[in-house]
Amino acid sequence: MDNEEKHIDIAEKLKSLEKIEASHNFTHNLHAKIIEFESEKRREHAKRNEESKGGFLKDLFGNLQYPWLVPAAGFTILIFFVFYITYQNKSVIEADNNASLKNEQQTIQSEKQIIPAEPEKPSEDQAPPADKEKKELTTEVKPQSQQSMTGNDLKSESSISEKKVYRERTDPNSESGNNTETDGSNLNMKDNYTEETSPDGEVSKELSGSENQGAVSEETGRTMANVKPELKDTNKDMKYNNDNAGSILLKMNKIDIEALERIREEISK
Amino acid sequence: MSGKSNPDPDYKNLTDEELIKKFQNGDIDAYNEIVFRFKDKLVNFLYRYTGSREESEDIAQDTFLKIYTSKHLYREIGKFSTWMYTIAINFARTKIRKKKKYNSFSLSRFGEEDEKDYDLPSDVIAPDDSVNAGTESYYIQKAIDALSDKLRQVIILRDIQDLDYDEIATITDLPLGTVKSRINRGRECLKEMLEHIYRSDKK
Repeated sequence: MDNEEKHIDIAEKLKSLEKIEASHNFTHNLHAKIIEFESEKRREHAKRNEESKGGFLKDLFGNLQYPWLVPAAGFTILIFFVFYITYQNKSVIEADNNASLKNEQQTIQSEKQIIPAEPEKPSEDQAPPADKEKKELTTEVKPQSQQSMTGNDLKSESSISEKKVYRERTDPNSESGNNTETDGSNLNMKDNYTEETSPDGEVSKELSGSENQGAVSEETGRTMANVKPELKDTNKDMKYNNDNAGSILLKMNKIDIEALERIREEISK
Repeated sequence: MSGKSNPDPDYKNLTDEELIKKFQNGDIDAYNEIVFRFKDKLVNFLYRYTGSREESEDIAQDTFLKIYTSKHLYREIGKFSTWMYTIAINFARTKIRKKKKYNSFSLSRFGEEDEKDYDLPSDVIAPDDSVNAGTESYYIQKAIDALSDKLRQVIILRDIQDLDYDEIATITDLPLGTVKSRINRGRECLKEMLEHIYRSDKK
């Protein structure tokens, strides 16, 4: 403490200086300053509140009191948007699936309706040898029948009448019971479906070629009336399921062409 | 804040740190006790530092207002008085700097301020000084005013406010050795100046 002793005189002089006291109104002035400060603080707070009344979004993002909310809110909205789109698509897909299922069910039902109208195919054991030959022929004619899937041919009157004829011919339970291949009494078999046909079938044998043709056309006209409802059904079914209905009609068409050829042969004979 | 000048007598037994703790918990009477306890000391220190009674009171009030608004900033690591003197010195420095900008008679404005330990005191007598003009305290105050800022604050804190070296080192944010050497140099400067003043006064 050499320095203290060295300058002890000046140190004592400084310590002996009179102590200055605060004025009497010091605390009063201090209180006034504090009150002024608090009122200014309140004014600022009120001003801030007024500014923050601009709405929820402005309150959140305008003053940037919570700046971390900006990316968080953006991310949340994005996630919500993505999930919304995903579930929306799922519901649409499910609706499509349901619609397709309904369509399938309808087509199955329509097939069931169509099947009774189809000619009852004789079993291979019971079928006459002529049927076997028909089967062979149908396989050969396949390319032509595929072309006729457009439906234009199906609508033609001749094909419809021929379908009917074929059904009658192939029906094993038919009353005539004649062998179509051997005695060539195809026309007599058709007469079983017409009112004007004579029961013995001799008239048809005596008919000339032109007359025979006329008789055939008459018969096809009559059979048209029977077949047309079925055709309408098939057209409806085709709308629901083209493959199934088309395949059924295709078979019928193949057989009809074959039957028509035979009828023509016989007429020409 | 209550307008009481003399707070509850129970607070007189509490230390400064206990009072500020109470004030931090919302006890306004504790703040009043702090003001009551330190206002004279602070005004005296600031008067010696600035040389103006009006300014010293103004800065002292600003210091207490700062304590009022920033009470949460005080940590019970150091003494409360150290924290309060630090605030006061910062306010006083800012005030003096502003004052020097517009109205300065110091010769240091023409040279580097930090290099000089003291300036020759001005011949102009301020209104506050007129009462004590011619007395020893007047000359001492003139000599203190002439000291450079870095020497003046340590001399006042040590020899007028009677703070210890460690506390001064904390307030000024200086190493202990630097504080000691500055105090020593400040005393030498004061001695020289007072001799010069007395000589010129005798003439």
